[in-house]
Amino acid sequence: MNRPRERILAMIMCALWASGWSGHARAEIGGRVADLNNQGLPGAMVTLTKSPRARGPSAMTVFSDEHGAFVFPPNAPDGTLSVRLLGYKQVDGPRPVATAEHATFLMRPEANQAGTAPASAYLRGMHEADREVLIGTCVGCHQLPAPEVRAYAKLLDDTPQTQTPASREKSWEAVVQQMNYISAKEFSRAGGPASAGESVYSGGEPGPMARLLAAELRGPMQEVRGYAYGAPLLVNSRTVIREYEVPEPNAIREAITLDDANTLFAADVSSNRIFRIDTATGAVRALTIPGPDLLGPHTLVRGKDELWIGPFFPGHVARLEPKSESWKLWSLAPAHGRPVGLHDLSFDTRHDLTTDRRGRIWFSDIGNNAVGWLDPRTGENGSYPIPPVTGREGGEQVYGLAMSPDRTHVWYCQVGIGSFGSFNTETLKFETQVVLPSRTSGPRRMSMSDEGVLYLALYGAGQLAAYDTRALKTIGVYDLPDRASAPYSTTWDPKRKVVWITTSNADAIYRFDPKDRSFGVLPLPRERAFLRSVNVDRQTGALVTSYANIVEHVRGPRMALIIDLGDMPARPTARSIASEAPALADSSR
Amino acid sequence: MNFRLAGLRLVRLGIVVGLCISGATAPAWASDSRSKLSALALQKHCDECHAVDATRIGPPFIAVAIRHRAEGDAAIEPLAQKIIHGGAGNWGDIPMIPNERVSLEEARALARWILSLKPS
Repeated sequence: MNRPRERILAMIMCALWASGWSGHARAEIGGRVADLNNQGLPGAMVTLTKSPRARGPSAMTVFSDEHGAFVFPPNAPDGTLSVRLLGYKQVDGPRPVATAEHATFLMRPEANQAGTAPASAYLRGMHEADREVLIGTCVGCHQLPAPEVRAYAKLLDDTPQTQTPASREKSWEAVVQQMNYISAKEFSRAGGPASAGESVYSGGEPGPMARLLAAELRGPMQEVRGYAYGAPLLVNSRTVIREYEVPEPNAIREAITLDDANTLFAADVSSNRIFRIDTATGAVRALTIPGPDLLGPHTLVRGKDELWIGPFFPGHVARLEPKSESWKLWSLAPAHGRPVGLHDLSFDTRHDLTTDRRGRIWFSDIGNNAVGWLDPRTGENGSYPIPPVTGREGGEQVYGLAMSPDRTHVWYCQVGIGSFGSFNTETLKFETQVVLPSRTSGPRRMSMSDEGVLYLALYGAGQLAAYDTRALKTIGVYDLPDRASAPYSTTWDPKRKVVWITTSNADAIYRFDPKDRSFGVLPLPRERAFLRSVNVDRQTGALVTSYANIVEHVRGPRMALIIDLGDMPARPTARSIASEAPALADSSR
Repeated sequence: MNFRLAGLRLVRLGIVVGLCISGATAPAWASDSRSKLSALALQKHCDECHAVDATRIGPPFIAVAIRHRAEGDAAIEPLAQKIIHGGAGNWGDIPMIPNERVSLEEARALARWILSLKPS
């Protein structure tokens, strides 16, 4: 046996592996973003869109540093490169990686930010109450104004017959009717009862929504200027956003990682499928929840090496064991006449599924405006209707749910009336009730910090509310960097001791730091980045989220995302390992 | 503001939360408007605004066919372009939405199908 030769061979193999070698070696993909005066532009998003044959994420995005320089991780796939930067336009189009290594991407200023500014940019300056209602009504399903909405505004602007306020209101009423029809169709897909989708149809006369749309979406809406993120960017030259597409048709809702950071799970609400995505190769496999009913996987919660699934269509809870790929399904009996509309499952301060002290999982039941429970050991379940809030009776709609750190209380919020409260899981009594200033502020998904601080995303109001559940005191209500961003969820990050806030309308994730009450912004690399929840990967601290464009019509991206913020202590890079390896090989001779 | 909120509360039941929580059954017109549509018309979601022989948000397809019958094949191209670009004038003042996701070839096929419809 020639041991030195074997060692050399092993080291060469290691070096090749570390450099991301997969059949062919390639130089590092990097370059520079500059303006036409050749000044480097920082904070530009450089996206590598994978070529169809290559393996890896569908797209990878990195950010340029203070000199305009950017570099992709060594394992980046082959594809094309393009650059996005608010207030700028790339002078030439996307370039193949092969012709773009270490190239300079030139940008010119572009005052019209249509295409790079988010939908929320068009809603600036709107009356606060109107904005809350518009966002609360429309943005639950799609961004506002989505490109189709802007196209219709342009058509109204161009058409001689729609130049009067009355004709514009009637035109928007037609769109409202169309939306009613779509929602009724979507929500009755499982064969159950249709939703109240017709209810905004006001019988031929323009209804309140149509009047609001006609009043607020004025002009051709083809230009938007002066949008700014409103908070410092959270990115650096090591930040990497990996986006994974899944085969159409689908309607991805949420995405999550469990114990293995290299496996993404994504829920497809249009079917019974959970997609299992290999983050290194991008390979996608569909796992189907067995049974005759259409469930529509919707809310995903991380368990102890298990994936818990709250379906869109009523009456079930599902659990996947990823190793054996086996399923367990529980049926939820209607407790109060209506089917159980499970939304959130109780989770702890790490966003992991948790039970109360008696082993019961709790959930928000939006079918009955109740908090419900399930004993997963016996399958027993039940629920407790939430008592009315004085002065805000009717239209309550429970939504988010989070468990207190001591597992004695579940906290819930009511999106329809702007309130939240607590239920004692020991005494089985409702306790605290808190009313937010605005009825239409729209609290959605919540999370709980290690210290028992409840963070609520106020969807309509564009604010973050912080409430001390131990002292039973509001800490503060904070304006987000963009009030029209439609913040959907909060996630307490136990590693960084910050709160992550996803948005539906601003193509961005915000970070709130409770220490100094400051915000930061993580911009996402494409339009219609319609977000739902975000999770923090247990091992890596990466953010895991998804573009959740639910309705088949909404042509927004359907992707699961892993975001490496680049804020963890630097590990030895593959490049440095690769460059050291040959030296070691030499010394062994 | 109050009347606005009273009306919108119902909208939020169906749209904001996105779960079917109403006890109402599917509206009769929903299945009616879909039943006679061609596969392509269904795939392109024409049923959202049109039915074959009933007025919905837009005119019944059969009425479109009758109006343009005398024009023969010359009606195909303008109708195909109208499907893509939308617009008002022929059936009232409310413009049809633009349908940028419908290709010209698909729009021509839809136009041919609409113009081929005959009253039953």
